[in-house]
Amino acid sequence: MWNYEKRLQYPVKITQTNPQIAQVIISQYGGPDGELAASMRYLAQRYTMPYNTVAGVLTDIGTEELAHFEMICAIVYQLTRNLTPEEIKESGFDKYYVDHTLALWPQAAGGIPFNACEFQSKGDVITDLTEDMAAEQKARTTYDNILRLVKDPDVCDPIRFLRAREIVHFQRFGEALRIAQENLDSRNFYAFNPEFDK
Amino acid sequence: MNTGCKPCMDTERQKLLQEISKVDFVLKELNLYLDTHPYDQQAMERFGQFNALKNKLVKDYTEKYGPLVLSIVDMDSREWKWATQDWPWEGGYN
Repeated sequence: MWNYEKRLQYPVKITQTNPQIAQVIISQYGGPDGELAASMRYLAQRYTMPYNTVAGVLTDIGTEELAHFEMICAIVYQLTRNLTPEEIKESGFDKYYVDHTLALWPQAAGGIPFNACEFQSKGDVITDLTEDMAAEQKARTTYDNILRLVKDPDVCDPIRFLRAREIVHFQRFGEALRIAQENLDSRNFYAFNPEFDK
Repeated sequence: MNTGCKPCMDTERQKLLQEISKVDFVLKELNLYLDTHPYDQQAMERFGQFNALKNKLVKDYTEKYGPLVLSIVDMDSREWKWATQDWPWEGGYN
């Protein structure tokens, strides 16, 4: 169960709209390495996780990712607020606008809809935690790519915050993998799968 | 087009909310750290201290400006500010 806090994890206050850059940033909402996929990945993987501390990491990072896609949505929303039809046409935002007007919808920058195939819930501790570590790095790379394209400090500031969180999460997943390995056969981590073999 | 933030921003309100965010950030960091270091006494003590501080700040904020969480609401108010005040993505106070 969850509780909502009526504030963003880090402030988003954008004064200048920019629908072109919004189309790029929306990828971190519904794209392959976005925050929605991250959250759903971790929250899905935790049920069969045999170690309580690791299930805690998955729950708490999965929860933080909810707050992250809320920030991404706030950025996209503020970048596209009060646009005129002319601004929509000129910026190339028309292809998104025709289906969603100015509402938020999870998709990748290239228009591909959010899809659960963007993540795995494999049911094997080592496999899942290794995917989680990769996921954090993929998101970090995406934020690096965004920061090369965006110059507006109102946008860069919250993006830098999100980028830094990927690095912290990568660290915690690394520790979670170590905890899992300490619970496995030290001569052969792959001797059995504690999520299935009893 | 310049959408602008809301005029007449209350800087005291802004500062208090920023303080809450900072304290909550410490709590989030300690929370994740403790998940993988569950016997670190110092981290647990800090979590307790910052948790108490956050609750105090949220209570102050709620009394002065409006609710941030449904577990701390101003029962003297005649208005359900949770729903009538702006949501955080509007870019006002967040």
